[in-house]
Parts: sequence; structure tokens; C-alpha cells
Amino acid sequence: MKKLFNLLLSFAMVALCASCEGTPSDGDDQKDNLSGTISLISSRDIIRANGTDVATLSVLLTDESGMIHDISSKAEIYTSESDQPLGSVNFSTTKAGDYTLYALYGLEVSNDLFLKAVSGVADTPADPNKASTDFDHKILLIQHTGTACPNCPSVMNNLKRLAEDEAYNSKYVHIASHSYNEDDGAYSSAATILSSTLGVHSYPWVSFNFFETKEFLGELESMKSCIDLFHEPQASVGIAASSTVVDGNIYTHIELKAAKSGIYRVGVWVLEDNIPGTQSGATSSWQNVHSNCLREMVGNNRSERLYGKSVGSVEAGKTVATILSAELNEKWVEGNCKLVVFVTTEDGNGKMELLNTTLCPVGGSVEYAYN
Amino acid sequence: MLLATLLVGLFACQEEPEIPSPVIQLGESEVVLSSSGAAVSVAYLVENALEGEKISVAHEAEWLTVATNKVRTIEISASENTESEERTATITISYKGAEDVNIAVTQSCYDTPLRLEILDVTAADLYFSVFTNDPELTWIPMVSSKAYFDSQRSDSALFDDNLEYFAYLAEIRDLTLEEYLTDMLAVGTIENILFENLEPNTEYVLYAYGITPKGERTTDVVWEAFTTEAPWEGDLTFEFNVMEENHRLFFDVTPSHTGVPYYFGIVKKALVEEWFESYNTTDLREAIQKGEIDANIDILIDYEFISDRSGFYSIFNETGRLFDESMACDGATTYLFFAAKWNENCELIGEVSSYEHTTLPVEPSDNIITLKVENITQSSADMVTTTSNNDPYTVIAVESSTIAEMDDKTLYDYLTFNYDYLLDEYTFSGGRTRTYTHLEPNTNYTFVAFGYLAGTQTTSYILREEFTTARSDDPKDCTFEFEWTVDTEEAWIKIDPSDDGHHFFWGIYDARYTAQEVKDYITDVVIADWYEGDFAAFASWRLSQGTVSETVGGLYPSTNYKIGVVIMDYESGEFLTDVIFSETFTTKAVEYADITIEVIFNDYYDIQELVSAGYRNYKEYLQYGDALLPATVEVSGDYSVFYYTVYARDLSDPELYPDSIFLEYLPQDGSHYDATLFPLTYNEDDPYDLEMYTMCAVAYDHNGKFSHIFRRPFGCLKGNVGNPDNFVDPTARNLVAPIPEWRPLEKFGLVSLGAERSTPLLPKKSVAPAEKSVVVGAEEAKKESARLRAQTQFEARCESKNLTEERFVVSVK
Repeated sequence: MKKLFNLLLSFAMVALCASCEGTPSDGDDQKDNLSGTISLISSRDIIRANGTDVATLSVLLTDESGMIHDISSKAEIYTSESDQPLGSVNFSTTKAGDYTLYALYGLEVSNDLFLKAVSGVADTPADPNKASTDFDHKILLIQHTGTACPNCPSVMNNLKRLAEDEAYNSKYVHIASHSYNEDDGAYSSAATILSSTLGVHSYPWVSFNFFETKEFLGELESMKSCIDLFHEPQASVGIAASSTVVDGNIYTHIELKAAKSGIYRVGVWVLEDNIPGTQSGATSSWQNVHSNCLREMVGNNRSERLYGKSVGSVEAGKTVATILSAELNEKWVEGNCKLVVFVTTEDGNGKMELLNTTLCPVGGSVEYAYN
Repeated sequence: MLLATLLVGLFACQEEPEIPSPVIQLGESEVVLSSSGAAVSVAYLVENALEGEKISVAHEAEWLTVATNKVRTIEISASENTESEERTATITISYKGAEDVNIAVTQSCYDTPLRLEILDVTAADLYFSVFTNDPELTWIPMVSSKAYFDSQRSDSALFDDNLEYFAYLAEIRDLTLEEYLTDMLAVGTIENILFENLEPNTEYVLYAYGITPKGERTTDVVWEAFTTEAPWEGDLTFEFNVMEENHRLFFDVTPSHTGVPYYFGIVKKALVEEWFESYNTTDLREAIQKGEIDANIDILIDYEFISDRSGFYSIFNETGRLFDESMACDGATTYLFFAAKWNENCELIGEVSSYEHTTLPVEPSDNIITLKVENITQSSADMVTTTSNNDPYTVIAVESSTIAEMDDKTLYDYLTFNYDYLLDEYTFSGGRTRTYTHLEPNTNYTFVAFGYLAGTQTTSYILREEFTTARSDDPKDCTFEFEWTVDTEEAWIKIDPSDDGHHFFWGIYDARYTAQEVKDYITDVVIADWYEGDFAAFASWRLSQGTVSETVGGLYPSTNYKIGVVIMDYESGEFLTDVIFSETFTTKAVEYADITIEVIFNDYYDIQELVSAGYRNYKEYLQYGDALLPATVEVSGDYSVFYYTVYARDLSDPELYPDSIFLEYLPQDGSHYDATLFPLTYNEDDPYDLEMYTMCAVAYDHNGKFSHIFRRPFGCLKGNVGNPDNFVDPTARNLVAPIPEWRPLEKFGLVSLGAERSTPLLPKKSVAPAEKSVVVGAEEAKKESARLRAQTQFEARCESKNLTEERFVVSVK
């Protein structure tokens, strides 16, 4: 008897539903009990317009208590070009352009999310040793200088000797941060940000990675000691990158491969070589031409410019790719420009730690460097 | 029954399908837009939606934009609301068959935290207002050259530079940054702010930003560029606003056009009448030019406050308004305020604007003053006064013969004419005892006392109390008793003559000094050099009378000294006795720090050769010498600071040149950098001089103890210069100071030897007695009074001048 009752009830429900069926709701309310503000975020700002490169989207709901819920699977994500939801949290396209995306969740609408899809961005070089994570390590050596600094040539001399020392010249990437005098052709606001962040209060000055050094380290032996101190036999991440100039922008396609699991950030700084500028106190003519000069730090804010953009968590042995772009300033000589690509992580004490770095020519590429 | 119910339901549907009405649901029914009008999105949902139907929106606000292009989303934006009041609108959302729903839109009023409004710009003045939404917002206004502003790449760069500048301003005021900012920050809206003394025809930028007293920026930088007008080329007129209170004049001076150089002064009208007479003119401009400007220039040059007319111009030139200035005034006196356009040669070139103000008379005083003279010696006397109230009064000692025939009025005129400014120094309040010194023996003096305020005699009487100083015996019979207590670098000494009437010169001398050497020193060095042969000045300031008790500094440790005294004729300068010495005493030995300092140096390099070898920028060193000596320092031990430099001459003999000499000069002259380049000059006269310089160094520990002095003599001969190929500049690390315009040359590690070589290393240093504190001679008093007047004016003007900077903090308080 009970079976019959259930059967009838099922039938009745179907009948009732059928009786009330009209056109579908303008919106399918899948909302459960969560309420709050929603936001749409992306793993990437830039993707390649090749149909396979993917930006992974997330819809997060922040409830009244401040708790954040991932509602990506429940929310609808739209592009401004279509009335149809994506149906997936992955966005890819074959059409280059700027895209605006937004999400709906019941009666909540998210922020607009802007994504750029670019054609012509080169692949990162193939991994020559996929099984390995024994990466070569390089540190940043930052020379704080300026053409009007009469004592800076002594450090220039020391850096030249360091660059000629084969025991050391493969262990660091040299950056000249011209922040001393504004009439220096190599001066840049990026350099002033970098120098002030690193606590530089006198010139010449030399810093390593993101450490705020308290004493003068511009003597040759001091620099060697610091390289010995900071350089590791194996880096915890490897970097492969390629760069392409498209429509006046430098797109740097970066792939990070982790030797250790971690949460990483990837940054790009633009350097320019061969900038002429009469050097005060010069002891030789080569000092009137300046190379490795910091021109720009890529990012949407000071933190991203200094320490890179987050690529999230990466497991050991895995890779993650991203693309960062910088406007190619018309005052720079494109052929003289190159990129410093680096990976950072937070050291557990709230400070950013530089894990590895490499140089990539503009319009060129650099593959993973293994020991 | 259930089945029946269901069947009824099915049957009913078949007969008359019931279609529920659509219902519009909104995510928000009220939205608030910012004053900038940034878009807000509202999601909606239509229940029981109809096929092919879409919502429609309607509103009547021109400033509102509503779009429904996105799925289930209404985008609402607005134009910027620049009004001071918020505005509202209602958006009605309609859907076929559904009840309309509304979204209430409110756009807030203008909410930029800071807003600048330039009201007026002249050749030198900027008037502006700053509006804040938050009445508690603290902010700071700045004016800078446009070039400076443009050179700042970002708000952050500008702010960082400003913050560094504030730190500098705080430091020179001995304040913390927070104390300085607390004092300078403006709060809330302030209108009609005036910033003066801009340069004409110049591009500037006014900018401001919110900032907390802790130096945290709280808003964007808001700014307005402006250009000052060309300077007014016509003549100037002036308005004077004068108020008087408590015998002080408070005044403002407003030129008809700011930004034009002018001279302003205040003078007693009686003095102007004297100028008219002295210069035989009735032309006020000529009288002021000669009597005020040219005369003051002469006095200030004479006293070495300035070196030429341009110095006077830079101090006394005005271009803007003078606000809330003040000066003490005499009672019942007519003052002439005047101002006129002038040029850089301090010549008045415009018509003089003037304003007369006669001050209020001074109320008479019923103060009853009594005078008594006590403790009369050959050179001093105590004046004891009592008073019936605290009204101010003056007491001064004058020789009786000078005033014997004078009635009170004549005496008052004599004193005010000759003593003028000095009278204030002898003006007291209430009863007191004061010792007057430097009196002549066996001489009649009169203490003169009268009520005195604001240049006016306030009592109806002038008291006179005559006395005669004690007679002096033959100077040769005068004996001296000496006492002393010594430390390492100072000694307390007491010289007690048996006869207080004689004038004597005293000093502390190296124990090896002979009497003749002392006399030679007094004659050849003190009188001839220090006083340029002016014995009267020497006698006035350097000769003592009576007991001397002083603590004398500047002595050297472990050094033998003696006190030497010689009586001199006050008028002729003749030595009346031989030099009388105390017994020898020795200053305490120094406990040296456990530190060793050594200066490492070897070759020096010809600067021309260095330039030729590629060190092109080193040619700037040619102005300091012929060669460069690189030197570095090595210090062992826990030191706090060290100093080292090169001195001319061979100073290696500690007997001839005690360590103590270097302790005085090295901290002043020496480099404190690890490495330094010393420019040297070749000895062209003596090519065999191998000891023409001495490298000297000292280091101090954390307790202030010093090391033994390092000293190493060396020569500097052109034939012995080092090979430029071996030259290494060790001074790279010496460069300090991140702000280019604040880098003094010394900070580059270059110490100008020119200065060191001219530094006097006194072979044997004597310590002269302290200067006199009391002057009684009328001639001296007049001269001193004139000097004081000029100095007072000079220093007052100097204090009111600001240094030129690239950017200025605008004071709003």
C-alpha cells in the first residue's frame, strides 16, 4: 500500500510540474543558503589566443562573517560578448582582444574581470631535462649608482673585475639601478623605487637580492663574499621564458618549474644596455656607457613590481605558466633591452625571498638552466 | 482521497491553465554612487519569465546612465557630482506582466579629500584655498618650482622627497619629524591662504596632500600649476599700519606691488631732522640714503657683519608685506616709518612713502630710590639701592668732574645722548646691590640714578651719590697672590693683587716662557695683531683690575704652565712692572684610550698626470693642489670616531708640538672617513724638503678617551710622484647624502688642504683674560651703543630671512 502511495505521489508531482511549465526563468536560480558579496578572479591576466592557453577563473563569496566560499561551480560566468554562461571555470579563446568577464550568483553580481588574449606570443623553450629539478641558481646583484656620482666608478671597476672572474660571473645577474641623479640618461622611477626599498642612503651602494644591506659591499672581495653567502648549489625553482614584442608591448611568457612545493610569485624587470652618459669620476671611457640599467618593473602595484605577480601554489616537479607584459617605452632601444625574470616567495616572516633569476633577451628566450 | 485530489488537480489544469505572473527580484533596491560616478551593478531575476521578454528601465535623471547589456545585470553609473550636496534618482524596472520595481539611487556629494583653488597670483604672492571633505583631515600645502615638480616621477616619489625634506627641516629645528609635522600640518578647510615672496615671472606648482603627524600620506597629491606675473616696473607706494601697546610699536607694511625690491626703516623724526641739517638737504630720500642706509652700511662693514653693500642688500631687502612686526619705542616720540623702492646697490630709486607716529607719553613714576655706596676699593665700588616700588630705574657711574656743572636736564641729555642703547643694560627694577668695576684709583665718581622707561625719565629727580676710589701705591710695590686648581684641560685660577687700582694683563703661559717673551707676546701678538695696534681698545677689553677668579679652559694635559701678570699704564700702554709669574703647575695627565690608529699612505700622484691618464673629473682637484695623496685608516680597538688630516710642517716632535694641540684641531680639521684624498702642493722653493707635511690622526673611544696621536712627516716633491697606472681612489665609500643639492664637497672625502695649511698651529698658546663686562667711558659707550644698534638691526633682519629652497612648506598657522 505504501509503495502505491509513493508511486501516486511521484506521479502527482510530475503532473503538477508539467502543469506549471512555462518558458524557462530568466536565470536559473541555483543559489543555496549562502549570501554575501561575490568576486571573480583569474589565474592569469594575459593568455595566448590559441584556444588552448587557459585562464582559470574562480568565483568567491565573502559572507557577512568575512568567511570566503569558493562558489565557482555554482555561479554563472559570462563574458560581455555573450548571453550564454561559459559553462566552465576555464577561459580560452582563439580571438585576440580584451575581454570583460563577470559572474552571477542568484541576485549577486561580481566585479568586472579584464583579460587580455594575445596572438603571437612565443612558446617557452622546451624543457631539455623534464625529469630533473636540479636547477642552476643565480642571485641578483644590484648596483645603486648614477652618472653624477663621482665615486661610483670605483664600484664599476670592481664589477668589471667580478664579471671577468669565471668563478663568480655565472652566479649572479647584475642590475644597475641608476637612482642617484635625475639627469642621468639611465635614471628611472623604477630605480628610485628599488633603491629606496633597499634602504640605499649613500652612493655607490651594492645590494644582493632583496636584502637591505647596512654596510658598503662594493669592494670586490665584499661582493665575492656576498655571492658566496647567497648563492646556493641548487635553486628551488627553475625558470624558462620567452619574450615577444606585440603592438608595442613586451610579452614575457614564463614557465616556472618547482623543485620544492611552494607558493610562488614571478616578476619581470626590463633592463637596457649601452646607454651613453658621461660618468663623473670616470677612470676609463667604457664607464661612460651604461648597461644592465633598470628601466621598468612589471606589475600593477608596487608589490607586484618589486616582488612579482602571484602564480599560486606549485607542487614539486610541476610547472605553471604565466604571461607578464610591459609597455615598450619609445625612449628605449629595443635591441638593447633584456629582461630579468625572477621567482620569489614569502620567507615565513613576511619578507620576500628571491629564489632564482635569469636573463631573457627581448624577442628571445631562455630555457631551464640545470646544473 | 489523495488520488481524488490529484485527479482534481489534473482536471483543473486541463480546463484552465493557471499562469503565474512574472515577478522581478532585485539584488539591491538602493544603491549609493560615489561622487565620481563609478558604475555599480545590480543583479536581477525575473520569476515566471515570459519567452522573449526583457526588462526595461526608466529614470528622469540626466546625470544617470543605466545599461542592461549584461545578463541579469543592471549597470548604473553617473556623471561626476561636483556639487556640495548629494542627489537622488529613482530607476523603475518594468517587465511585461510584472509589477514595477524601483532602485533608489543616491550619489554622494563631492568627496575628493582635498581640493585646491587658486584665488589670485601676483608677481610675488599666491592666494589660495584648500577644501577638505573631512574637517579632521590633516594636510600640508607646498609650493615648488614647476621644474622640481615635473622632475618627480610619481606621487610617491614626490612624497618621499618631501618627507626627506621635512626630516631635514625637523632636524635643523632640533625636533622629531612628528613634532615638526604636528606643528606644521593644517586641519580641515582653510580659505584665502597667502604665500609670499615668490619670484616674478616664474612657473610654480602649488600642491597638497593629506599626511598624518607620523608622516603617512593619506591622500593623492592634488596640484595646480601657476605662473607669477612680471614684476611691477613702476614706482611703489606703501601703507603703514601702526599700533602701540605697552611702549612697543606693532606694525604692518604693505607695498602697492609685491615682488619689487624695497627698503623699509623706522627712525626717530628728530634724527631725520639732524640728517637734513647734516647733509644740508630737505630731500627725505637723500637724507635716508645718507643718514640711514649708507651710514649703517659703513658701521656694519666696520664691524665686519657684512663685507660690502651687497651684503646689506641681501639682509635688508624686502619684496613682500611685513606683517605683525614690532619694536620697542620711546615715549612721547615721533617716529617716521618709511619705505622706498631701491636697487641692488642699496640706492633708493623710488619716492619715499612715510608715516609718522607719535608714541604715547610715559607715565611718571613715584618710585623713591635711595643710593648708598659701599666697599670702595681702588677700582670698584658697590652700589646699593632701595626702591619703594618696582618701576624701572637706571643707575650709572660717571666721573664726577664730567657732570659737576650739569643740572638734571643737562645731565639726562648727556647720558641719553652718549649712552643711548647702553642705558637699558643699566636699568633695573627693585632694590639691589651691584658692583661697578674698572674704576680708576683716587678718582671722584658719581652714581647717578633716576626712573627710566621707554627712553623717558620717569622720576622727577635724579639722584647723585659721589664717592672717591681708594688711592693706589707705586705699581712696583704691588704684589700678587696666586691660587689654582688644575684638571687635564682646564684650571681654576685666582689672582689677588695687593693694590686693586692697577691695570694688569694676565695670562697662563707655557712654563718655559720668559718675562721678555710674555711682553713681546703682549706687544707683538695681542696688541699688534689682535687689536691692530689699537691700544685703547686693548686696554678697555684686556686689562684687569682687582681680584680675578676664573676657570680657564683650552689647556693641554701633562703640560707645565704658570700664571703671568704685568701691570700696564692704562693710557700709554707702558709696562709699569716686570712680569710676575706664579709658581709652575702641571695639568693632569691624560688616560689614553686602548686604541691604536694608523694612517696608511704611500705614493702621491700628480693631478695633471691623473687627468691625462683618464681621470678627467679629477681636474676639479687642481684648485686645491698639485698632487693627490690617497690615504686610508686602520684603527685597532673599540673606537667611536677618528680624525686625521695632513698639516703643513714637520710636527713630529711631541716636545715642540704636544699631543694636546692636535686634540683641539683634529676634530675640527680632520677627515672622519675610512679613506680620503688629500690634495698637496709641491714645495717649489725647497726640492729637498722631505718633511714638509705631517699626517696626524687620533681616535676616540666610547667614553671620550683618545688614543695617542699618530704623526708621520713626509715630503711632496714633484719628482717623486707615483705612476698614475698604480693610482687607486680609495674614497668610494665616502660619498654621503642622497639629495644632490645638499652635498658639501667635504662629504665626497675630499678635504681641502688649503684650509688645513692655513690653520694656525700656535707654537705656544697663551690664554688671555676674559673680556670686560662693564664700560664706563662716555666715548666707548657711544661707540658701543652705535655698534649695538647696528648689530641689533642686523641680527633681527638675519633671523627673518629664509634660505632658498626648491620647495617651500607653506605655513598656515
